[in-house]
Amino acid sequence: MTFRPTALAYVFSVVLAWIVCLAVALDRVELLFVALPLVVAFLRAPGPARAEVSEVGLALEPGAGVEGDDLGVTVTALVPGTGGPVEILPVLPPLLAPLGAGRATVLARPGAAQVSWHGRLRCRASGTADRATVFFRIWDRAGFWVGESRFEPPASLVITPRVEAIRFLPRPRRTGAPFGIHLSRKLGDGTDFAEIRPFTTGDRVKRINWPVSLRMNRLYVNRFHTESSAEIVLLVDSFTNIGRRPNSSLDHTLRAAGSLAVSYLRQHDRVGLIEFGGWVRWTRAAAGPAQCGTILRSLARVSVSPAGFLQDLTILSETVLPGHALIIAISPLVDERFVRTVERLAGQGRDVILLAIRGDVLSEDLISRRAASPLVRRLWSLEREDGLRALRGYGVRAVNWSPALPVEAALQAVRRPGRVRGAEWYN
Amino acid sequence: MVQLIGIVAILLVAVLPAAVQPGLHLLVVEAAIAVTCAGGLLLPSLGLAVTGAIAALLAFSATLVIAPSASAIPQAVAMGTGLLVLLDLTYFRQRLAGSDVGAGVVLGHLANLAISVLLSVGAAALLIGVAVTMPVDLDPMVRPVMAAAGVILVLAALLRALTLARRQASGTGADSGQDGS
Repeated sequence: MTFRPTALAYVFSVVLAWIVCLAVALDRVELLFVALPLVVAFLRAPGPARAEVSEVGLALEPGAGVEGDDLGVTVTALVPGTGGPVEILPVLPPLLAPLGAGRATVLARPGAAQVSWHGRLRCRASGTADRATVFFRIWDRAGFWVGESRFEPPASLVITPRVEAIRFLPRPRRTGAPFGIHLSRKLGDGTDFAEIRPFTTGDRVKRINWPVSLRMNRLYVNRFHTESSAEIVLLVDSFTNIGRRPNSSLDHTLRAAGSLAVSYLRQHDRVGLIEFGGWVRWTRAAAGPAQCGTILRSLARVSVSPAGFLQDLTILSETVLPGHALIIAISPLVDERFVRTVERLAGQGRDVILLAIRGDVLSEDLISRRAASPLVRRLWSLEREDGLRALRGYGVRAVNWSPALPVEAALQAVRRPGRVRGAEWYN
Repeated sequence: MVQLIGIVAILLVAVLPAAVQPGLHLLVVEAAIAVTCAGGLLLPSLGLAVTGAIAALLAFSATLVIAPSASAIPQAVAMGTGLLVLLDLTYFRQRLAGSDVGAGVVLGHLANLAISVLLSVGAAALLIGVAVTMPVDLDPMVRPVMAAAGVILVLAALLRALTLARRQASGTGADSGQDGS
C-alpha cells in the first residue's frame, strides 16, 4: 500500500500560496501569521508511509441464507499503525444489500492492530457467490495522506429462493411408486373404499364385510384404492429474465419452483428439477427432506444465459425425464426454444402443466410510455392468449400467472388432470 | 459537534475583516463569504469552502490595506485558525459522507485539530516575543526582496514534497487485486 496526498493537502497548498503572494504584494506581515496555523498543521502531518494491510478474512454466518433473511458478515484484517482512521468498504454482490445506514464503515485505530467489522446484510434475491471484494482506505492523523488496498477473500454464499406452502397441488394423471397420497385406480390395500365383491381364495379375513355377508348368506370382502406417489419434474426456463431483481421473472420462477418442490416432497412424492436455458442442468427425482435442500440449492444456482447448446429435452434419459412424470414448466414464454420444447413434450403424450408468467406486468417500469399504452398491452395479451391456446391444443394444461397473485391461485385452474386424447390407461 | 465547530469557524472567518476595519460596506461582503463557506461545510464541498476561504482572505487583505498602520497580528492568527478549522472539517465531513462512523473517530480528529490550533497560537506568541526582543531593522528596499525569496523557498519546498509523494505513488503503484492471507 502506498500513500498519496489527499485533496486537503492540495487545498492547503493553494491557500498557502495565496497567502504568501498577498503578503508579498501588499507588504503586510500579518498575512504571514494567517498562514501560520496552516503551516503548523502541514508540519504535524507524518508524511507518506509504506504499510501493508494483511491477514484479511471474511466470514459469513454458517448455513445457507434464504431470500429475504438477514445475514451476518464479519471482516477482519491486520492494519498498520498510521494514527488515522481506517475505512472498510465491502463491495457486495447484487444479491445482498447492507442494512446499516452507510455503505462503508470508518473505525478509529490508535496503532497497528487487528480491526474487525461486523455488519448485517439483507438477502435480496436468490443466487450464489464465491468471492467478495473488500477495500481498505487508511488515512494519516492529519488527513493529508491516504493509502488504499483491495482484497478478494473467498466467501461461499448460497441464497435459496423464498418458498411458500401450497395446499392444493395439481394432481398428476399417472402415479408410480407405492406409499404416497395419490389414489390409484388399482385396488388393493389402502384406506379409501372402492367396492365390495365376493370372497375368493387368497382374500384376507380382516377384509370381510360381515354385515353384507350375513345379509347375502355369502362371504363378501371390501376392496380399497391403493395409494401411490407421483413423480414430478419441474422445468425452469433460464433463457431470459424480464424485469429487475429481486422482482424479475426469474425470481418468481425460482420461488414458484421451490414452493412446488417443497409442497410435493411434503406429501412424499418424488421431485426432480431441470434447468433449461443456455445451460441444461438437472437434479434427478427423489423423495425425502434431503431432496428438498438439494433442489433449493440447485434453484439458487440457476442463471440466465441466452446461448443454447441443447435444443431438445426429449433426448434426456428416462431417469431424468420419466415418461409417467408430471412436468410443471414455468416460463415467461419469451424464448421460442422453450415453447417448442413444451410442445414436443406434450406431443409425446406426457403430462405437462405450463405456468406462464406475465412478463408485461414485470416490465411496466422498464419500457417506454408508448410501448406501455393500453392498445399495445392489449395486443400483447391477445398474442399471448393465442399462444397458450395453441399449447392447450397439444394437451398442455396452460395457465397465465400474474406475479402479484400467489402461485396457488394460478394453479387452481389446472389442479385436476383433464381428458387425454387416445386410449391411455392408468397403471 | 463537527458542524457546530465549523459554523463557529465560519463566523470567525467572516467577521474578522470587520474587526480590523469596521464598516457597513463590509457587511455584504461578509454575508457572501459566510454563505459560501457555510455551503461548503454543510453540503459538504471542498471547492466551495476553498472559494469562501480565498474570498475571506482577500477581504481581510483589503481591510489591512485600508486600515491604519496598527498591527493586526492576533486577528491574523485567528483568521488562520478559522481557515484551518473550516477547510479541515469540510474535508473530514466530505470523506465520511455516507459511511457509518465508529466510536472515537470524530473525537480523535477534533483532538488532533485542537492540538494544531494550540501549537499555532503558541508558535505565533513565540514569534511575536522573538520579534519584540530582537528587532531586526531592514532597509525598506530590501524587505520585499527578502520576502519574495522566502516565498520562493516555501513554495519550492511544498512543490518538492508533493512531487516526491506523487513519484512514490506512481513508481511503486497502488496495491490491487491482492488476495487476503
